Amino acid sequence: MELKSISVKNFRNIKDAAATGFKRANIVTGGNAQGKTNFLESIYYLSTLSSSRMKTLNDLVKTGETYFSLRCKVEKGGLSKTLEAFYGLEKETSVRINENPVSKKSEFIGELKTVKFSPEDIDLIKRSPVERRRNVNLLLSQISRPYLSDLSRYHQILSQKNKLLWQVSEQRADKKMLYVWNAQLVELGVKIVKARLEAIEALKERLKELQYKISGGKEEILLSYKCSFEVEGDLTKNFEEKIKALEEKEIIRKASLVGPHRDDIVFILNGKDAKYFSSEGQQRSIIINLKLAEYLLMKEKTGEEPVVLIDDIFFDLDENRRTELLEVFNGMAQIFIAGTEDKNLTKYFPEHTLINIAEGTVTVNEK
Amino acid sequence: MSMERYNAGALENLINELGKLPGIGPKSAQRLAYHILKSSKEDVSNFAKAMAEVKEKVRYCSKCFNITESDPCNVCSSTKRNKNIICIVEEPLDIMSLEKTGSFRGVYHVLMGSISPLDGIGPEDLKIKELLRRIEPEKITEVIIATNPDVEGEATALFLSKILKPLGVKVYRLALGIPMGASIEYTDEVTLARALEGKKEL
Repeated sequence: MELKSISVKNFRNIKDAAATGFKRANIVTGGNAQGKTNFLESIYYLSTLSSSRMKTLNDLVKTGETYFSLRCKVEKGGLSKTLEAFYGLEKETSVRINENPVSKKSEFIGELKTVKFSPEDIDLIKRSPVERRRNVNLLLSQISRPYLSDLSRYHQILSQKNKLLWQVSEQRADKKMLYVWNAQLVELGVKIVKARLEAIEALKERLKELQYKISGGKEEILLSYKCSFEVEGDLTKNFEEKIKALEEKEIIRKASLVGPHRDDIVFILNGKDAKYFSSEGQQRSIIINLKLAEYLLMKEKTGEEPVVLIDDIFFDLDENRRTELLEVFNGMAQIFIAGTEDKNLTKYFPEHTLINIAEGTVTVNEK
Repeated sequence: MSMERYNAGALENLINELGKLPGIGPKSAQRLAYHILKSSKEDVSNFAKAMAEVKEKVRYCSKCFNITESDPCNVCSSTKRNKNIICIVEEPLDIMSLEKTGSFRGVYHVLMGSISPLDGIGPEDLKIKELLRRIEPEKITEVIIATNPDVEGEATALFLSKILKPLGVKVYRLALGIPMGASIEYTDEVTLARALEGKKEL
């Protein structure tokens, strides 16, 4: 898969930019806070329709403007597609493929597949389960369309059920009505959990191997899915029973306490939870390897090589690790790599396009 | 001066009223209002009459809650329909769509919505009591639940099947699948997956 061109309007600090002439390696340069990350994020948005951090979409609109719009051309297997996304401050969204409006997000996401390496990914280990669930959701949404559609339906059911729990606790509705939502919640929840278990299993093997190699056999990392219900045996039955057991508690708390929206993913380094028992350096290296594993999984599952976005992840890596990673990136179908003042970068990718960003203005130099 | 003001007020009033209609934004309301302003007096009075009449003449059928000018409605009073089979829909408009198929020979029951806690709608706000009151006297043997396939429609279908089954009626749910005339290649994965789940033996 290859990104051929992109136009960006009112996105973060980029007012109006058009860039074309991309090669396999594309180096994004510019000083600090000039818009390198924003440029990468605009590509990421066309891939996932999400912002990368826990920013709201409104934060993506340039200050003083009321909307942003993005447009890109993607080529895969000799076929070229135009993807467009519009977002307005009033939460209006629209997306188009080859000029045709697409009504479902799930039909758009995954048209441009990306894997993003960014320093903030370290939050995946450090922070709350929300970000880990979000990460696996974004990965699976690009791999499987039914996944995203199941997930959004699951969340609709969840809001209905939570409202009903509130009504029941206020004695404004009968708790006997809960089953009409629980039945649907279980049906979709099981599908979501199964897809995640399968993905985590596949990532686990790859991550373990990568981490073992770079640590010279000293680090064993285990990825594990922590489900809010028992995953051995019949998932449907286990999920149903857990909901039943927690019914009273759910009414008191006015919240659904079991299901994929409460699950988590844990990183175990040499037998201990990496969230508490690992150095910053170890966490960085685990995350880079996780992202490499995601790249491999996406490639294997879809038969398409995702476009890789790399944002400033080299600053605290030692020379060996750096060289090793750059070798890996060099073997990928297409990369966009940002670094502040990395003279060496150009050395590794003799044939590249240079994308310079200064105060939100984008200029392209082919070399 | 005062005359001018009066005119602008009437136009503004019309724009405001049109803007209350579903799917009509301020821009469309303005366009429609200007269109009405430019239309002949006769057209406008016919339009106004049609609106007044619809409110005067059209009511809900006391049996099935279809919209009708005569009570009971054409379907309920027809002698050619199978009165032992009921198709349950959310809105009267759904009946129009089903009637266009010409392939359903039973009668209907309109729920007037679907279960949705977020909108404050529970089973008691729908015409479910009225449905249950029909089962025995009308000797209903078969029920087809044709609520929408969204989460609210599914919840309503689930609720209905649970209370109808103990009454000894056969309960069916409308099947989901690939639209006629569509090709499998262009059907989205989600619909296709649903269609596979609902496969039938030949």
